[in-house]
Amino acid sequence: MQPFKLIRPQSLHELLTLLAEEEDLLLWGGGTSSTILMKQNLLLPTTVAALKGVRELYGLERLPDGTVRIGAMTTLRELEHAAWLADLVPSVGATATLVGNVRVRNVATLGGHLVHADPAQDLPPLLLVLGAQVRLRSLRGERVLDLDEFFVDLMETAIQPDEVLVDVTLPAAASELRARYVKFRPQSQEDYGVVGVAASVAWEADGRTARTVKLAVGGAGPTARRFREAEERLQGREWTPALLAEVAEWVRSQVEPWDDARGSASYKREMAAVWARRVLASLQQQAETTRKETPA
Amino acid sequence: MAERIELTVNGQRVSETVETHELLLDFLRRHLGLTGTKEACSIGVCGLCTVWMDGRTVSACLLPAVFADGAEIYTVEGLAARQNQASAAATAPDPRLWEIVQESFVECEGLQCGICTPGQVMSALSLLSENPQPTEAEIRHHMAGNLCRCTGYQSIVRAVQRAAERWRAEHATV
Ligand SMILES: Cc1cc2nc3c(=O)[nH]c(=O)nc-3n(C[C@H](O)[C@H](O)[C@H](O)COP(=O)(O)OP(=O)(O)OC[C@H]3O[C@@H](n4cnc5c(N)ncnc54)[C@H](O)[C@@H]3O)c2cc1C
Ligand code: FES
Ligand code: FES
Repeated sequence: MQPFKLIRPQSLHELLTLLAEEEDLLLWGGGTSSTILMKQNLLLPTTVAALKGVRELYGLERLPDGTVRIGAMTTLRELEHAAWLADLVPSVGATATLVGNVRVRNVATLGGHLVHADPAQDLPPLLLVLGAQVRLRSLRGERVLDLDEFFVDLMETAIQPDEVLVDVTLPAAASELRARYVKFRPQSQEDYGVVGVAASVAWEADGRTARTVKLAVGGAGPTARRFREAEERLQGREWTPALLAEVAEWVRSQVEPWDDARGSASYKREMAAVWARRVLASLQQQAETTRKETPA
Repeated sequence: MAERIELTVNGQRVSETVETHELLLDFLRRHLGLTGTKEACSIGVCGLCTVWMDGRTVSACLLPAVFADGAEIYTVEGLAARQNQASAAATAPDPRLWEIVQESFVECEGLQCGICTPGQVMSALSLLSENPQPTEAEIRHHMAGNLCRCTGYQSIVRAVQRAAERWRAEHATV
């Protein structure tokens, strides 16, 4: 690792000014990704700005309009432990607890998690199906992007060098969705998944017809991404095993994985299809159970 | 580039100059001679370098020491100091729980070669501080980031269960 100059801005304005002035400024959230990249000399920052003192990047709250606001400096462990969030959108904590190990989650921030943009990360597919947005700030102003638009390519996002990710928001409607993320990981518990699949659905009053559906896959291409055509095929219909098989087949044909230590491209393609079908089937099963428990 | 940091390690105030790229792990082992905290993977996976920082565990191999400025740290050497500490922050580990955890690892033979043990002890301590009645699944989930090449994990899980039992027994209201 190489030495760097450390700056500790104490407000968002101070940080944005630094970002505008300093070339090559590395922002430090939890530093779990950056430290590893710096140890490997893949990242050689001359100046590092600690985000710890910037109050505006904190907070985990439900706004009056029902939006859930997650400050960029919220740790994954805080997402795991927030009881009110577990009541409102349980899939967030259930997914956060699958990341790495406790020590990573104690330190890693949601902002760092998203900006790191490793396609095998766990929260991106889930946040995509919950309709999350990210708020970016610079001295030039503010941009709010759908998470879909944020992930651009392998470890590349739409964030500009002078911008900071301020917070992530989940729309009020997220609490009405049934959502689930599955991490498929044949090895030990602290590993990244081979693939990760998330789906969310809002059922019609009949509890059988899917009003809106979102489906996203991670670990099987350069970014975690949604599969809109699959979503359209599932919307406005009752799901049959044949329909789920058709959707899984379509996912298999669309993912773009590559060979690596977590599996061959063909294996990942297969697993993306299998787990897409299973996640959807489990949401359908859950709806059926709910219907039986609350007969009309 | 050198930076002055001030922190508390095992109850002692420490004020030292460190290079910005010096890791907390090296700071503890080389500057302070606290070699109980071990290193193996250096990438946050194995758990050998687990230390207690402000009420939670962190991998000392993934944290430059400058970011521990102002922090309160306990390493595996810290139990005796913690027992003798007149006052400590609310986020400090409970000394009695810590003692019970260490004794339970011995009693249940939760170690063989012992290299992973400092990290196992600190992780078990943090689990039981947060959740005094963990299920076996919760123990395995929490301890999953502490690898052990010797024990096969059964005895480690038992040690944590035993510590939880003893801790509960001491706190049972009659
Ligand atoms: C041992 C280990 C195991 C892991 N296992 C998993 C796993 O199973 N699943 C998984 O999903 N992930 C896993 N990870 C990755 C982990 O999720 C990320 O390392 C972590 O979320 C990054 O967060 P951070 O706050 O530490 O980021 P940092 O390292 O601080 O930052 C990462 C990047 O984001 C930038 N950044 C940080 N905050 C902001 C901000 N607010 N605005 C703009 N840019 C910002 C930084 O400049 C840097 O480029 C693992 C990591 C480790 C070390
Ligand atoms: S040496 Fe730090 S986790 Fe392995
Ligand atoms: S006791 Fe040897 S590695 Fe755990």
